[in-house]
Amino acid sequence: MATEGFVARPRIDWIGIAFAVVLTLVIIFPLLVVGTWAFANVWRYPNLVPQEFGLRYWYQTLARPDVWQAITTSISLAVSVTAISAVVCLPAAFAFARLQFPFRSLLFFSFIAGQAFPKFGLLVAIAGIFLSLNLIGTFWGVVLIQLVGTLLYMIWIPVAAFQSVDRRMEEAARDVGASPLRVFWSITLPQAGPTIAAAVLLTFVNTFYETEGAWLIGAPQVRTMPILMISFINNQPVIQYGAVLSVILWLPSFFALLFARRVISGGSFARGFGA
Amino acid sequence: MSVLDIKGVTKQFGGAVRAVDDFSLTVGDGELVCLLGPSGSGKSTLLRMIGGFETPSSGSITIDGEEVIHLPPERRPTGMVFQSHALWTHMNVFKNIAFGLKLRRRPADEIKRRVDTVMELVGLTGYGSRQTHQLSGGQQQRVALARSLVLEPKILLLDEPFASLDQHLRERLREEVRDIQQRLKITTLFVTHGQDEALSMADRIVVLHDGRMEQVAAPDMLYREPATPFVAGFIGTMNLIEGNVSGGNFSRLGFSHALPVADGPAIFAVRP
Repeated sequence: MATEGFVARPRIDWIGIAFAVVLTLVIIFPLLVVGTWAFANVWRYPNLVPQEFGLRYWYQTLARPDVWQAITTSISLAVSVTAISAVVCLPAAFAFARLQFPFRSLLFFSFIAGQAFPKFGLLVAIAGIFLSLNLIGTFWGVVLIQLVGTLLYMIWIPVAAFQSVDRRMEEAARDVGASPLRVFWSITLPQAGPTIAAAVLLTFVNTFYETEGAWLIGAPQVRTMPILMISFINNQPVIQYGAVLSVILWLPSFFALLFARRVISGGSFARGFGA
Repeated sequence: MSVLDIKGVTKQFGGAVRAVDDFSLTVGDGELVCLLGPSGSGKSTLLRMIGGFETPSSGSITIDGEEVIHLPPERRPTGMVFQSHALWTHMNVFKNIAFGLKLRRRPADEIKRRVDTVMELVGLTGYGSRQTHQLSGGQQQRVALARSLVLEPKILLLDEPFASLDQHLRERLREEVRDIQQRLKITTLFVTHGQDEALSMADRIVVLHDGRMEQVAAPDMLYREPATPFVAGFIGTMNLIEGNVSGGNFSRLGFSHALPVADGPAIFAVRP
């Protein structure tokens, strides 16, 4: 733009700048405050910046056994749920995308039901069933309840991914001698791969931050990171504990985004949603 | 030595409409035959039945005397070039062309040699490591052609291969494909809706209309002696005048011309 400056003077995009400023304030400012709190050893009214920066509360937070317990629980929960969801949903998604069977549309749209109605009501109803199955307060109970929340992403996005694979590509592979199974492995899956990776990533991150189901089914035995953070914020007079935990909670989504940028070529998300 | 023999092939999709209706044709060894017709005439369906992507409702298709109707596409000795190229975008040019040989578990040095040979044949030498999206439309079509040719199919099937290319490129590729076909002496069936393409490339042209064969003839015969009014209207430009013949004279309003045919309604066709 700069070199073209005197040819066609670029107009100042005031609306764009206004949007950028508002977005920055709304998104960056709270992050900045929480981030500052996490590294503040002493921060008393009326100072605008903390009196003393340091890692004191990091040591204290990370020394707590319940924090480590929660980190392990959260990671193993998210990994289990994502893996099981992939195993269950991906073949189903392929079936939805390619096969004709009775009640196909009805089943397909039933997956949106979990998202379309107030989720808490659904969860309470499921909790009632889990109570009689002795699943309340167990790891696998939480896995099951969180699986419900992943169905939409793990079915709908891969369905769109499989549907958007050019059938002529698959036919061309058959033509040069590939069996139907070989076509799936060598053509369909690599073509749908980036979009499916996006779905897996979304599922992982969403499960990691899921609180309602985890709290309703898991509490008090199973405590995930977000639930621990909420209880810190609600019950601890020291703000820093909650702040440190929330900064730690940024990490998964940060790495997920980095990974996403590498794995997912531009437009995969959009294609996944049928754009 | 490969001869394609199609006998009484009919294809019905669901309802009563016949996409292809009782079609018979023999394509001789090394011959290039064009299937020409407007869209919806059944020419692509016919090609897809030969390639194994559709099953005929009745009839038989043999290649060198061997019935292929019950074989899936991967076990037919045919090679198909698709209209949309259908290149595998997650593989580079070399891998696209080599895929079929890999499936046949050929040794790596043989694969390399054969892919290099065919890339030279279609004028893509040095493009092996390119990604498919880095190629122009014409180059993509060459890759698609090479991908089929490298397997040395008995029958080459081309489904409107130049439809997505611009006029200039189309004319050039037309000549190149014809040249390659003549050098390899490969029996070829070529689907197109462009009469200039058919007239300039084919040994024989089959004109299809509503799933039926209207006429099969060499290009100049087709041009000079169209067998039906449809062929006359479809090939070249013609003025068709409807009128009446009585006493060896065609007449319409004030116009009349000697025409030695039986009396009755007739169509008078004049090339400009």
